[in-house]
Amino acid sequence: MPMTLVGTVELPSSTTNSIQFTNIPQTGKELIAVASCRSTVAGIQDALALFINDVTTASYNEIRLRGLGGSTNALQSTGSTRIQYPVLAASGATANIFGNTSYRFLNYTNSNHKQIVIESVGENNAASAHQIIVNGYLNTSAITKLEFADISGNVFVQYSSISLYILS
Amino acid sequence: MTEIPTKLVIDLSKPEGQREQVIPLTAEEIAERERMVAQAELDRIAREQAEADRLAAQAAAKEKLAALGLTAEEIAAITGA
Repeated sequence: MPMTLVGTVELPSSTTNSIQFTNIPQTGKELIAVASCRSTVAGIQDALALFINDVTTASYNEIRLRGLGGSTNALQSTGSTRIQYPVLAASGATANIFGNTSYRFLNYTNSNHKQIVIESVGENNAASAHQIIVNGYLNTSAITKLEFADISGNVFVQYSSISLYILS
Repeated sequence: MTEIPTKLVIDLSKPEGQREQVIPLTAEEIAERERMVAQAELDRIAREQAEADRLAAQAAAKEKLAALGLTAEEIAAITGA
């Protein structure tokens, strides 16, 4: 399947809390998003929240498999108001590293509930967290808008970037 | 934060160079994010408590099985852990 870049952004300053792609082309079979972001919030890690089509009601089910240092665990949640597990490096993490996440939205234009596969890693050099997340989005509308937000309410640092591709 | 955070909207229906719009968050959006932050913290605490409860129940069950005379290998065989 050909992969086409449809939008990309790299932040020129540390003032943005939310990055939104609107009017996403409906010409593909799958949608791929690649995020490399860091927050100004205190701590090692933060969460990169994702909202689809402005839906903030209980519509997101997630299961997460995580490796953190020498341990592993699995967590699940149902009825979340956002996709909330992908990691975002925070100000206490190793300097100049970012949390890197890829999202694959399967059959994003169809009229069924959507499946999303996410791979995310917080590259803090002291104790890395790598996680794979499977998400069900309980909504039948085609995906036309994605909003990525710093869940802490703080802002992304300069050079944080997100790119959007379609597979057709 | 002293500076009002912004949202960056990329309208993919427009030609490149005309897509990006930087918009300050409204007071309502900032309040919504504060609510989201509080809810995220509550969710995190609930998840961690649920995981701690599960591990405690698992440990208690293993102790009871051991008290019945099962070996560690037998317990692992039936619990998978």
